[in-house]
Amino acid sequence: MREGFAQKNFERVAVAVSYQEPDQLPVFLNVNGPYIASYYNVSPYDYYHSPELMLKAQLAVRERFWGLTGVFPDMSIAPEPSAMGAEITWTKDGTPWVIPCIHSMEDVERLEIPDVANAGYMTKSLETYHYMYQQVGGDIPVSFGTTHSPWGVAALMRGTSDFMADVIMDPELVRALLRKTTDLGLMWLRNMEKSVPAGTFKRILIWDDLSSFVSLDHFREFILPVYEELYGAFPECERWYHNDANATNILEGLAEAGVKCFHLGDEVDMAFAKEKLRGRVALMGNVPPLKVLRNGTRQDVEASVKDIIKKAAKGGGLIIAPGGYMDEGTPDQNIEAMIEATARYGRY
Amino acid sequence: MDLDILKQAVTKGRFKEIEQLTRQALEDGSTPRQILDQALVPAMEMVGAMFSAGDIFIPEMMVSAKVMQKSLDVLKPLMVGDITSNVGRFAIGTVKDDLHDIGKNIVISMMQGAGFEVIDLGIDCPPEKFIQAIKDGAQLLGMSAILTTVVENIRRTIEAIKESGLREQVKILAGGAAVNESLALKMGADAYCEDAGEAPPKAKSLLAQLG
Ligand code: B12
Repeated sequence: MREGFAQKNFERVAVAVSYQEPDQLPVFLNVNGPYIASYYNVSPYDYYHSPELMLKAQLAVRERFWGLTGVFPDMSIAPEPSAMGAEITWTKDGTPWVIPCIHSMEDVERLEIPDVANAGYMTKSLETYHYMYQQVGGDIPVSFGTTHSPWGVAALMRGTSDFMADVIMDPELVRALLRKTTDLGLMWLRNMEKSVPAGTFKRILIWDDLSSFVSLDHFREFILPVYEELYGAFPECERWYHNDANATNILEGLAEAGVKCFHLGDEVDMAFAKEKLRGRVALMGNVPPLKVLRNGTRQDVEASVKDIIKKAAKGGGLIIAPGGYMDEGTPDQNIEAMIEATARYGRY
Repeated sequence: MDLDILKQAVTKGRFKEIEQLTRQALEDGSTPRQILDQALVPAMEMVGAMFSAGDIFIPEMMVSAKVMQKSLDVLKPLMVGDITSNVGRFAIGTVKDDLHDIGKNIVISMMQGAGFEVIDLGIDCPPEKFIQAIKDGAQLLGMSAILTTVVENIRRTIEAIKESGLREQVKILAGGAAVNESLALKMGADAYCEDAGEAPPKAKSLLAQLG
């Protein structure tokens, strides 16, 4: 189970995403800041602010887990809002937050789409990509193509709960703000495409943990058009999507958005998701990251993997993964248990 | 006026009409107490139940809560001196370093809906904010912790409250995805709630203990 395994595994991921049955179920280790920094024993703040440390920490995780994880610029929620001038604060433990800065329509009108060279953490993210590519690009693919959804960015800039109320009380403000954040998203993705080697921009991952806090009707009215615009601008790219909140209510909407691979949280019942999305959207998940992977035993992990396989493996379109990003402090042995259980019980 | 009309205005989120409807109900002879107990509180209970059942979502819930608040704004000046006008004063915030506020805001809606006066301390609250809230008359504190990395901050906050000599004056509810019953009690809270719907009844029974 070494370098060759990772290669084979990613081929199986591709098969699963195209909704066929591979010979063997693939696994995916979704890791980012909190987990990677804790694994490498550095503060998340230092991790987020030093490209060198970020790369080293990511490489350490990659080596520990047989090449199953990648290398990528990782700035959490900071790039998009900061590009539009929102102030970012960092908590003591080093996670970023956006200070809401939209209080009126005038505030929205004042927002400008910046030049990428002058766009806060977005610029840092781009610089980090170039740094990583320079360091390891020949040997390891550096992923670039993930963006926080315009809906999520808008919510954080406005303040999530106020934004949710706006959906009903001030839909004009919601639309105007989404226009700006969508233009920003397009600008960001175009710059990512320009930065990577020609012909390698193949996948867009939109992440949006806030899209399922509204009804399917509101999702269709406000969010779906935004996704269509973003994904639609890159017709060659495969549509990946992440939302680890309870997205049960918007599953149909994700199929309508043409999502090919959905990384889902553990609050969604896999059997239900499979039933709804069979043959349309591949599912990636959803071993509970906190209750099972971080706080459970190897046996708990194994039981969870078996349960997911039982509910959703048949017919293809399944990738075993944590139902969210791996949490800080998740023990190595539980991650291994997930990989092993997938191999043991996931033969087609 | 039939108070059901007022009730419906809350459940259906009729923000623009609520002020006028509230005044109308008063003119027609309902007392503020009746409006609160027979229209606003039961309406928010319904909203909470619809939310828990997945029939409505956060926007609808937030708007109903705002509608209720607007009605309360009309009633409040008329209820001064009526010590039974509120069930109790509840202050809630996310503990230091936690900025997830969706859960906290749902709890606020539910507690307001149940007739509590709510002080929203916001996110990333240091112990001093909770202490100030007690000084401002909160009998009940809510601490929300969604990140596992901040759970210890519940203990730290409660320790600070003890040091300031105010612990006996309040009851403390803890909640959020990172906490469970045993953890909440270990951190020094008086009770834990699995979801926002549990908060009002638990809060009421805690207040009864406070005497
Ligand atoms: C939405 C979300 C976000 C949004 C938050 C928007 C906002 N304004 O709140 C965004 C995208 C911004 C975000 C950011 C981050 N997040 Co986040 N997020 C989530 C997500 C998907 C849902 C949380 C949520 O709102 N649930 C819905 C509400 C209604 O549920 P709730 O909070 O549990 O509240 C209910 C009850 O618990 C209860 N309750 C809550 N508080 C209280 C208090 C009292 C007194 C009472 C009585 C009851 C009560 O009532 C509520 C209603 O029933 C979860 C995953 C998940 N599925 O839970 C991750 C999750 C919480 N996030 C996580 C992380 C790691 C982060 C980040 C650090 C990521 C990063 N790389 O930067 C950041 C930083 C945040 C910070 N410093 O605080 C992790 C936490 C893991 C851990 N170790 O604890 C989770 C669990 C995801 C995962 N990996 O599994 N996140």
